[in-house]
Amino acid sequence: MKNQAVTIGGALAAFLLAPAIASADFVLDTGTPTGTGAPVILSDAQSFAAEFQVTAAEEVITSLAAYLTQGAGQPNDTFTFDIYSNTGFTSRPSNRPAPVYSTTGTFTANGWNTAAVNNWTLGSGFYWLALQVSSPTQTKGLDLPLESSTSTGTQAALAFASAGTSGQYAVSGADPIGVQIQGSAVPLPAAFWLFGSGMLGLGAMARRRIG
Amino acid sequence: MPSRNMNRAGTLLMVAIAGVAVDGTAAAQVVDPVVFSFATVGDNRQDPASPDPTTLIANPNPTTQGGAPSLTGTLLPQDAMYLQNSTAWSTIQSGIQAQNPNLLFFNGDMIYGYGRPILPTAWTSLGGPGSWYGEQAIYPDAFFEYLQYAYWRGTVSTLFSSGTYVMPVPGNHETQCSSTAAPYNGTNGAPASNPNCNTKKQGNLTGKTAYADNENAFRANMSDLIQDLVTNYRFSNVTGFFPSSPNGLTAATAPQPGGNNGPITSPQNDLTYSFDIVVQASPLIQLHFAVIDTDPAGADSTAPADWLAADFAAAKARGASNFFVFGHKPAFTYNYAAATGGSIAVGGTPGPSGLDANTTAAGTATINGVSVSYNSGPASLKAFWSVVTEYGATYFCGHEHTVNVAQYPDPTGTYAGTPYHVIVGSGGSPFDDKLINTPCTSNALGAAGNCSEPALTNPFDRYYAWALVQVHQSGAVTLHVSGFSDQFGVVQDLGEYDVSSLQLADAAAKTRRKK
Repeated sequence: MKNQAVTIGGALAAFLLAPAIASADFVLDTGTPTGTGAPVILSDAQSFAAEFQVTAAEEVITSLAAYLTQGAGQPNDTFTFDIYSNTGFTSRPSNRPAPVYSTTGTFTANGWNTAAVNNWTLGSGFYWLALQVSSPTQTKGLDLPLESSTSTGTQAALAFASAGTSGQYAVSGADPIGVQIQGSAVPLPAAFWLFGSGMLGLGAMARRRIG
Repeated sequence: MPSRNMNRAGTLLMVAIAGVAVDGTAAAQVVDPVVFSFATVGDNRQDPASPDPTTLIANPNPTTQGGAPSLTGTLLPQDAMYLQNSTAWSTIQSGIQAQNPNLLFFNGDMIYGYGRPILPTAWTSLGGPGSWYGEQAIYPDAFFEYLQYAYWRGTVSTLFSSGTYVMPVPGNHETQCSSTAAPYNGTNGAPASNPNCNTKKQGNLTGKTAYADNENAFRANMSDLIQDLVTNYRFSNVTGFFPSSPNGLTAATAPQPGGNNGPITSPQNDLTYSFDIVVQASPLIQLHFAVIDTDPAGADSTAPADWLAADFAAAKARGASNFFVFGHKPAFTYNYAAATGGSIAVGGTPGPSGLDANTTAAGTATINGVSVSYNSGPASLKAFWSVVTEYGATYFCGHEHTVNVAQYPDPTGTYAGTPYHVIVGSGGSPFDDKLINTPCTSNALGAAGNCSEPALTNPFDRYYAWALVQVHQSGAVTLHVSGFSDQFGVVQDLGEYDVSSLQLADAAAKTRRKK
């Protein structure tokens, strides 16, 4: 009886956790850069961004990553991941709407470098993931190796953009870089599943009494 | 039992999570903080007669947006006036500021110059424009050159406020007068050649000659930056370090005529100079920087090799661990034209343009009433590179309008090692490797237009570029080259080199250096 209860409890827990785990997926994945051109330099003199689309009614962003190499920077150098709405993104920085979300990334090693995100929720629509540096105290330059084409990876970027010292992004001629965004459909709240299972239990008990 | 299973499951879960976390992540890089850095570039002056077509913009049209690139267009008005490539130079400066170096060595040709800036005697004797008075005519070359110097000084002024101090290096456009350079071209009423300049007709092979007048103009416009090594009005505030043991700031301590310095005829103070910076005590990092004038009056295309040898020996005796030299002309011409069939051999086209272009023999001369014997040409060049090799120095230069990193051994065979020879004459002047089929008759490059990019020896031959040297806490020294294409794209990392193995700080290199 006790074993049965543990089994049922475990199954219920797995059931409750399942939606969040099972649906984690790439919203944007350009793939590991394999281009042969010289890497572009991420610094406070130039920034880079990739456009992506959210198709679900709501999407929870669970992780961000950029493919970086050391260049003239150092381990523990930082940069920011900023997610902008598509509206007004290519305006001058003074006119550009503030990012929807921002977080600081830390360079640790050549390869994919990630940043913590706290379940950012995005509605359906078009967005830009930007890699930006505000001053040389963040980094004196990290390298972004180039992708060989704009349409590689499991979830290709819709477009790329770069910005020089003016900070104004331009899509024309921008090089493809390596970025990833993982997300999941918004899970139903745990209370819903507890309420539902409770209702099911009550139903079963009522049926037994009737029987 | 259930708890044991849960433990097992928990362990498996942790392993799985760890596996996911490390997926695709390389081992963490070792942190070796940068304790000092400097950038270096040269040659941002524009050429009024033959600008690179990629620097031209569409002719003004009030009904459409201006400023679009046009291979058949005109120079940006400010570049036509002050003879700079301001688009390339401002982008380079932004890139340098982002790297936040302590110093920027500008390797010459900051102005188009090439005139003979003769000043009225009263001006010269009284010290400058602030004290000059009277009805004395100023030769137009002086007017234009001072204008260009002032504009350049303005362009670099923001570097100081962002923590980068600028050290100037004289180039041939500053120290030489070119007999046929613009505006002396025989058109629009201009004389066919500069009447104050030694010409080809007079037996000068190139028609380009260094004069004391030109060197005085360099000093008048740049010496405050160099004398700050002593006065320290701003050097330590800007860089965060105090310079020490400055040398060459007086005529007596600067290169003297004779020997491997060549037949110099003018004072070389503030044209060739050096100093130390002690970056950290343990492990000792004491950097020694030497700036050399490769076109001194009387000894065009000659490096002051004897002065450098004595200067390096004194620096080493003080404990200098790393040696860097900055000059304008390359010791060895980079053969950028090989892919397009050109030759840098003597008599070839375009022919050599570095110190290796000087083929004059040794001789004797009476300079300031004193008879001196001197080496010149190949002998002086060999002595120069031998000193560079002996101390494991790195040589940065410009003159050739391209970027190239190479290594050359001691031509005398005395010392082991192959020091780096870094050409960064890529600050904005017209690229040496020219577009094919110029002048362009179409606004499009390539198949759609008659102009096209040349077959390049190196993909970055037509990149605007600069070098960044980072000195790390461990004593390691890394060289980074950054730049952008002639189409003014984003800044890219063009290469990284570990030059520390050739520096004296490396004990193993020290012991194997002497052959």
